[in-house]
Amino acid sequence: MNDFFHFLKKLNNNFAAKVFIYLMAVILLLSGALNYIYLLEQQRSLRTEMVRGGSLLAEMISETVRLGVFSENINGIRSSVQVAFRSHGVMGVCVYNRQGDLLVAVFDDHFPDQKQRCLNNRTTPVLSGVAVNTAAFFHDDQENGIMEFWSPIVISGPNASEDAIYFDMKREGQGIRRELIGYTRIVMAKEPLHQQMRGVITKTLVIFASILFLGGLLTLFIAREVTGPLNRLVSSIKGYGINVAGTDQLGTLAGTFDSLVNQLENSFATVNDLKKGLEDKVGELESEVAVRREVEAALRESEQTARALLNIPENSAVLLDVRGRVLDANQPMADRLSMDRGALGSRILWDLLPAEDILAQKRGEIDEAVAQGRPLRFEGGHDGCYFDYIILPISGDSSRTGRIAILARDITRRVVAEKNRQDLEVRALTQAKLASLGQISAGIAHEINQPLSYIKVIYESTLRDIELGQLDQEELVEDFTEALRQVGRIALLTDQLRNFGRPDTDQFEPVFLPAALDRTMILMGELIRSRNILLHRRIDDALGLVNGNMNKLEQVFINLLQNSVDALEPEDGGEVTVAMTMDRDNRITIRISDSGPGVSPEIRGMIFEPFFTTKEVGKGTGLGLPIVYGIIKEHGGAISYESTAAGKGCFSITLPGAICEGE
Amino acid sequence: MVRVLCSIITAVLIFIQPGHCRAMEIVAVVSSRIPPYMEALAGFRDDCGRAVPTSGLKSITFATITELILSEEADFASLRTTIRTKKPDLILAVGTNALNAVKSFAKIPIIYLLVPYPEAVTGGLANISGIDMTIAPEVQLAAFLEQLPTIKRLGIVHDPSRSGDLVKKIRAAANRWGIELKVREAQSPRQVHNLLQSLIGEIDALWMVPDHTVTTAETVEEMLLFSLEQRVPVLSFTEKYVTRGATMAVVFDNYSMGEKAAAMAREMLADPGRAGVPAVSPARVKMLINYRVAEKLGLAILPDKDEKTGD
Repeated sequence: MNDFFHFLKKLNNNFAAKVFIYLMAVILLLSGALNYIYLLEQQRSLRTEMVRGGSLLAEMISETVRLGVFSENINGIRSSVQVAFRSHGVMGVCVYNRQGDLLVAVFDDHFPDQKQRCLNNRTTPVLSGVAVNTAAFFHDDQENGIMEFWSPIVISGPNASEDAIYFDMKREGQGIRRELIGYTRIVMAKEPLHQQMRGVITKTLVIFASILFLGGLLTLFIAREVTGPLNRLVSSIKGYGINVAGTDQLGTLAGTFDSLVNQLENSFATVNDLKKGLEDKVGELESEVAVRREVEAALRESEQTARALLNIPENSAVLLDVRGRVLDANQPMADRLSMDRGALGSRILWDLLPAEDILAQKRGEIDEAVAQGRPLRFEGGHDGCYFDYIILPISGDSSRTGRIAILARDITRRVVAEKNRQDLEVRALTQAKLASLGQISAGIAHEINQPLSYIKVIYESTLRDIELGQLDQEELVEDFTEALRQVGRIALLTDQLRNFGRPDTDQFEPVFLPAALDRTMILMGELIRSRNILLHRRIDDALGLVNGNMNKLEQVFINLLQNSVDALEPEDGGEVTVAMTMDRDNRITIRISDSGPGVSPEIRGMIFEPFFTTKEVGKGTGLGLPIVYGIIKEHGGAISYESTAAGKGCFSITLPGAICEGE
Repeated sequence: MVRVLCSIITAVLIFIQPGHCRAMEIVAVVSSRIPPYMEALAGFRDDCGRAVPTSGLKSITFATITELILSEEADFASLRTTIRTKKPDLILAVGTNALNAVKSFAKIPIIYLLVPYPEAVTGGLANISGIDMTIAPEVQLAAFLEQLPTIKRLGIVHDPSRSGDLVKKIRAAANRWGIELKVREAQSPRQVHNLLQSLIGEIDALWMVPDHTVTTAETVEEMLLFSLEQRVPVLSFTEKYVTRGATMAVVFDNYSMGEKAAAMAREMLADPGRAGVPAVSPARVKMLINYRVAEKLGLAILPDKDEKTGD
C-alpha cells in the first residue's frame, strides 16, 4: 500500500504524467459519450429498418395475394406468400379475409408455437378500424420476442361507370372503387435484430478500445512534446544557478518565476533609468544635430554668400582652403596681387602677399579666427590704398574640407575723405578760435593793460620815492607784492591764451567741467563786463567730471557765450547765466541762457546747419553752432535750443559723466 | 346627306330580326376532360366549323358551340340552368354522365357520343340519338383473323344479363368464319378465375367483351395473367387494355366519332320537325396491337398491319 501511495505521489510530482492522465480522461469521456450515442443511433436505425422492411413486406404480400384472396384461390395464396420467407427473420405469414377469418397460415417449421399462437389468436380487436386507406402497421410483442406486421388487402372493385370499361378514368378520379377484401399478417422474430445489435455493440467496443489505444499513444506523444521544452527550461534554469524549488516542473517554474519577476522588475527599473538617460542624451544629441544643421545651413548660406560676394566686381575676393591655397579669386583680387586670375589656382595666398600687406601682417589673427570658426573684420592698407577686410571661415564635412573666404572692399576714397573731413574740422575749429580770439582780444588787451598800468604806477611811485629818498621798505614790500600779484594776473591770462591757442588733439581725458567753464568765463570776462552784461555763475564745483577733450569743450562754451553776448544789445546790458547740474544717471546738463530775444521758432530747425547765421555780414561765419553740435556728438552728448517761459533763449548741453575708478 | 345615310344604316342594323341571321346554338356537355372525350369534341367542333350555315343567309358560321364540362360544374341543377339560359338548338352529350345530366330536356334534340350503353340511359326518348360505340362483331372478328389466321377456338367469359346479345352476334359471326366459340358465364367477378382455369387448353384466344360484371381491374388482371401463363392472346375492345397487356383490339376513332356526330347534328337541325333519328355506328375503326405482348406470346404479327379502318 505504501508503495502504491508513493507511486501516486511520484505521479503527482511529474508534470508529463499529469498531462497524460488529464488528456486520457478527456479522451475516455468523449469516446465513451460518442460511442454511446452511436450505439443508441444504431439501435434506433436497426429497429426503424426492421419496421420499414416488415411493413414493406406486408404491403408486398398483400399485393401479391390480392388476386388469390379476390378469387378465394387458397393454393394461389399459399404459393404467393412463399416469397415472404426469402426475407430474414420471417417466421410465418397469415392471410385473412375481410371478416378476419384465416384463409392461409404458412409458418416456418422451426416455429410451430408461433403458428399455433396465430391460429388461436383473435384478430377482431387488431383489425377493428382498419380501412381501405390504412397503411401497414405493426405490433411489438415484447413477451414473445416477435413483431407482427399487418397490411390490408385492397382491390379496385367493379367499375363505377360504364364509361370506365372503355376509358381510363383515373385522371378524373372517376370510375375507381377500392374495396377491402382481407388482411396480411407477417410474423417476424426479433432475434435477428438482437443479433445485429450485438454486432453493433461489439463493433462499438472495438472502436472504443481502438480510440483509447490510439488516444493513449497520441497523448503520450503530446505529453512528451509538451513537457520536453519544460524540462529543458528547468534544466536551463538550474544551469544558470537559479535556486529552484517545487514539487514538480510547474512548481519549480512557479517558484522561480517569482524571483525572476522580481529580478525583471529591478532590471526594468534599471532599463527605464537607462532609457530615460538615453532619451535625455538623444534629446541633447537631437538638439545638437539641429543646431549643427542650422550652423551648416548658415555656413552653406555663408559659402553661397561668399561666392556671391566673390562675384561683386567692386570687391577683391578670394576663396581659400584651410592651408591657404587659392580655390577661386575674382579679377580685382588678381589685379591686386598683380597676377593672372587663372594662374592663381592652387597657389598659396600667403606666399603671394608682400610683407607689408595688412593681410600678411594679420595672418596670425586670421588663423586664430578660422580655427575658432568666427568671422573677422578689420581695415587697413598701405601705399595709399585702404581695404575693409572680411574673413569668413566656412566649415566643411571635416577640418580638411573647410574653406576661408576673404573679401577686401576698397575703402581708399572713404578713408581719404574722412581724413579731409577731419582736416577741415580742425581748420574750421582753428578759424573759430581765431575768430573768438579776435572778438575777445580787445577785452584781453584791457585785462592785461590794467595790471600793467598798476605795475607801471607802482614802479613810477617807487622810482619817485627812490629819487626823493623817501623809500619806505614796508611800503615797498606792499607795492612789490601787489606788483607781483598783478604780474601773476597777467601770467594767468596769458596762460589761458596759450592753452586756448595750443594745437588741437583728438585725445580724450578726464575734464573737470567747472574749471573749463571758469577758464572760458575768464577769457570772456572782460568782453562781458565791457558790454555791461551781468554774468551769473550757478555751478556746483563738486560735480562735473567728464571724459572729453578740454580744448574742444572750451571752444563749445566760448561759442555759446559769444552767441549770448551777441544776442544782447551793446547799450542795454543784460544777463547771461551759466548753470550746471547732474542727475541720478550721472548725466551732466549745462545750460547757457541769456536775456536776449531768443531764436524765433521759424529758424530753430536751422541754427545747427553750417553757414546759417542771423548776424550781420562780417560778424558771423555760420560755423559756430555746427562746430558745437559736432563736438558734443563726438563726446556722446546732445545739444538743444530751448525757449524759457519768459521767451528767452537757452542752450542745453547734456554730457555723460565720467566714472571714477575710485567710486 | 352622309350623316342621314349613316343614321339609316345604323337603325337598320339595330332593328334587323336576329332569327334570320344568327347561327345555331349548340351546347356541348362533356362528362370530364379525359382525352377521348376531348378528341371527340374536337372532331365535332371542327366539322361544325367546316359546315356552311343552313339557317338564315346572314349567319357566318353553322353553329355557335358552348362547352360545359360536367365534372367542373357544381351540380346537375346549375348545369341545367346554364343550358336553359343558352336556349340551345341542340345539345351534344359526351359520355354517360353528360347524357344523364341533359336527358331531361325533352324538347331539345340531343346527340350523345362515347356512351357505352345509351339505351339504359335514354329509355327510347325520341329527341335523343347518337353514335353507338359498338363495333360490329363481324368487323372485329375479321380484323382478328386477319392478324391471327390460325385461331380456331375462341373463349369468352361474360355475364349473360349484360352482354348476352353481343355474345349472340359474336357466335353468329364465329359460325360464319368456322370458329369454335367456348363461352363461360359468370355472375360475379370472383368466378372469373375459376372460369378461366376451365378454359386452359380449350381455346386459341380469349375474347374480352365489354361487360360490366367481368371487366374489372382484377378480372382483367386475371385474364392478362391467364394470357401470359397459357400463351393465349387476349382480344380486347378498347385501347385501355391493349396498353395493359391485351394483345390487340379493334377500336373506333374518337375524332371521327365527333365528326359523325356533327353530321348528325346538321341533319337534325336542318329538319327540326323530324323525330326519331336512329343511332349510327362508328365511322372509322382501327386495329391496335401490343407488339411486345405478341412477341412474348410467340405470335408472328407484322408491324404494318397495326391499324385498319373501314366503314
